[in-house]
Amino acid sequence: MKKIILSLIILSTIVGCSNNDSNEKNKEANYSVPDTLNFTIFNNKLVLNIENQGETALNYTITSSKNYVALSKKEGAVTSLNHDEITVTVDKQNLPNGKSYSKLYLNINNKKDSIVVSVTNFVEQKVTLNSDVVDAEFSKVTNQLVYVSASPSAVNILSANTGSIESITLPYAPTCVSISPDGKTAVTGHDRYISYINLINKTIIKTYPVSCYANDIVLGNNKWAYVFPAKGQSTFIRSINLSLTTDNEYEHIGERIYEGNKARLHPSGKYIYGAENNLSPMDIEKYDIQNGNAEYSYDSPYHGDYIMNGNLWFSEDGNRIFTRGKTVFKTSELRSQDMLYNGTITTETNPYTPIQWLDHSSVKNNLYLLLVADDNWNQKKLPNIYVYNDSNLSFKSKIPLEQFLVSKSESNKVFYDAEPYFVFSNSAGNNLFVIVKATGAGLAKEWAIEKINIE
Amino acid sequence: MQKILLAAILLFTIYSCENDNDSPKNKEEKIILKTNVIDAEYSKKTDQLVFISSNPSQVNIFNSNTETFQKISLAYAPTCISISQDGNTAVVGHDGHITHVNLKNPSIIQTYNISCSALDIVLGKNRWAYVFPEKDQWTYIKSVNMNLEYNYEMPISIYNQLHAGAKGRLDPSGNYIYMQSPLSRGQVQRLTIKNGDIDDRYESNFEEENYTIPSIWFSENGDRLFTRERSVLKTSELNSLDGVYNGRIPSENNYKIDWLDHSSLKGKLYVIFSSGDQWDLIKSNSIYVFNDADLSYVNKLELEKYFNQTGRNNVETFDAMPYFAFSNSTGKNLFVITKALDSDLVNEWAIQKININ
Repeated sequence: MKKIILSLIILSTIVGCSNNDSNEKNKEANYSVPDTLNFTIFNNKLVLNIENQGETALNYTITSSKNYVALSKKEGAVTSLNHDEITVTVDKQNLPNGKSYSKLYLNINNKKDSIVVSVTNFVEQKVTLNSDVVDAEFSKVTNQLVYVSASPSAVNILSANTGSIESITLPYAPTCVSISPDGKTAVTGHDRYISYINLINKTIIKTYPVSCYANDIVLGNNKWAYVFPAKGQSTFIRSINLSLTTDNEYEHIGERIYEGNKARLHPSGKYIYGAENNLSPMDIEKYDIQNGNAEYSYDSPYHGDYIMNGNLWFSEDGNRIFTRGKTVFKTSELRSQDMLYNGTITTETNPYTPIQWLDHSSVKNNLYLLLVADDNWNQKKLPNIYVYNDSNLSFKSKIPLEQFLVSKSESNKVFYDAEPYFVFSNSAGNNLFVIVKATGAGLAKEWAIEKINIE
Repeated sequence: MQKILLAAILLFTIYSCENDNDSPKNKEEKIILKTNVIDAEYSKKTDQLVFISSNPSQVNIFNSNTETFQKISLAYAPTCISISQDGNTAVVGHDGHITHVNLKNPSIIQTYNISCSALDIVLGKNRWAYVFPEKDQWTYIKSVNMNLEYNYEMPISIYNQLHAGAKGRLDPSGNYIYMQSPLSRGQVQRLTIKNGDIDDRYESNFEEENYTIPSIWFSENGDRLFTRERSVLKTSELNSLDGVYNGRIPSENNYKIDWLDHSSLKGKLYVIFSSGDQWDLIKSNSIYVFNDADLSYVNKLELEKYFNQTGRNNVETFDAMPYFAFSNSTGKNLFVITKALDSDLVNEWAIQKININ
């Protein structure tokens, strides 16, 4: 008996649901109105038709449950076999992103009815930048994102805590930037110059001439800057003693490096690790900076065994190196244990496509990766943040980036993917800051920073 | 007395009718030019529109504030013109010569012999001119140091080789010339002229989808570059960011850009479109307006037609084809050089002034 009653309840529920699904409602008053009004991100105005399908006149009143929905009229009469049009307008200004629901309440010849109003809103949350972005670093000590721009030539400092951006005008177009381990100073590289920057009072301490075009630069915690040349094939690191105002440039000691190296300071502050470019195979190598001037130590024990691909990042503690080629190596003060293979990050892209950027958050045990699409001719970055477990390099999730909504005319808007170039987690690990570009969207200001909350 | 009154009314009516018939001619507001127009540039520093004509051969200086003209007679037929960044001088290209002219005190400063026929010319800083040859396939930009009396045409170098047909424009910084190649990929190159002669060049990775007629225009601050194929590129001192694709100006009919002007004050791009190919160009008879922030289409500005009174009651009209459009320094006016389409008018060129709200 219970089963029969249960079946009857289920049946009646299904029938009820199917009635709700119908697009139009037939009431005793014999009229027709839609069940729902759907406002997409592209429209703010719809026309609601009340159709009188009967032989007697209808009188109606209509009200909205929410203030953001406005009606062109609130009452009216519809003669037999005629219809009345009500313009429904939504004000999306204060609505959150995503869908918001409200209702229109109708009273038609003393019969109550309602229409669901669904409004989809899209307001870009990312912050549009007034410049381009050439290079960027993040200090977890000061929670500042420092990026350099060539148009205009400037060091730009984003406070991750307040969201404010301050700029320091540079005398030359910057090619690279490096923040000191304490986050208080930075150096920018240029063509034949470097600039030493005070990030606390936002001033240029001094601009020094150097004998190369700076492809990359590293600022030690010893007031020395290390410039990696863009040209010269077999060449030297330029070690610049920032405490001296003249005669402060030294060529590094030991084996030469090749032009185009990308380099990063090991968290210990004692060493720099560099990634070779423009060579085959590309290796990684280590330089000792404990005596000021850089001294070539050695390269990895491998020669083409693993894909390095020309750039590297460290885990926060410096125990691991992640290369642009997605291979992971252990570091050590002992040469026999240094730069030894530790694993490979498996991505949805093919093994030979590089990663664009990597960031490590030890608080969250996450690695954040930006991936490059599988297209050798068009090195487009995929519009997602890929999250991996730092303990075993396993894939955890993919965070899609907010798109750019761009006008093509007064009535036509088009979405463009955000192409990510840099991603940084803050010291608490609860926020990611992603520098993105609206590639090919035709925007005069095409760079932006998106802030993403991490649970 | 009644007869006199009647006659007066009759005369008045006839006069009124005649005035009505004449009204189209009287309403014509464009400034009719007595010359043809070969090339034109505009200086927002001096608010002068400077155009060259071959019939007669002269530089014509139109002051857009006072709407008055001055002229400098030229010894040779001009082919191209470039105004200095301060608007005080210009250089005119000819076949085998260039002429440096003073626009402040309209006069010729000096004429120089050059080893080519000038297709295009750029006047750089410090009295240097750069001539793009019309012929010879693989050839060289002729860099002319107009500070010198003799040997002013610089020798060829690895930096100034190009294919004849390439055209260039001075970057607003004054440090570079950007040029586009006439070859199939329409490559865009940045030539460094900081030290006078061209001493460096960078070729962007950007390629046009189709063969193109080289053409380059800049945004006022030089951050963006626009090509005939409606491609928009970012410019930068850094090679890695220079000549990078930024977007495309929309056109439902896949029009090409014949001319583009940017008004940063109004945030607008003014575009003259054309369809067809280089042998059969069909120009749009209006100016298309786009927002500079996102390249979105705004509206079209219609051009005044040409009127020709052929009889008391007959007026012929001809479409006005735009060739050049320039916004003035305040952004409040647009000056369009137009030509009457398929007319047999004696004076078929004109300047139309359009108010921009």
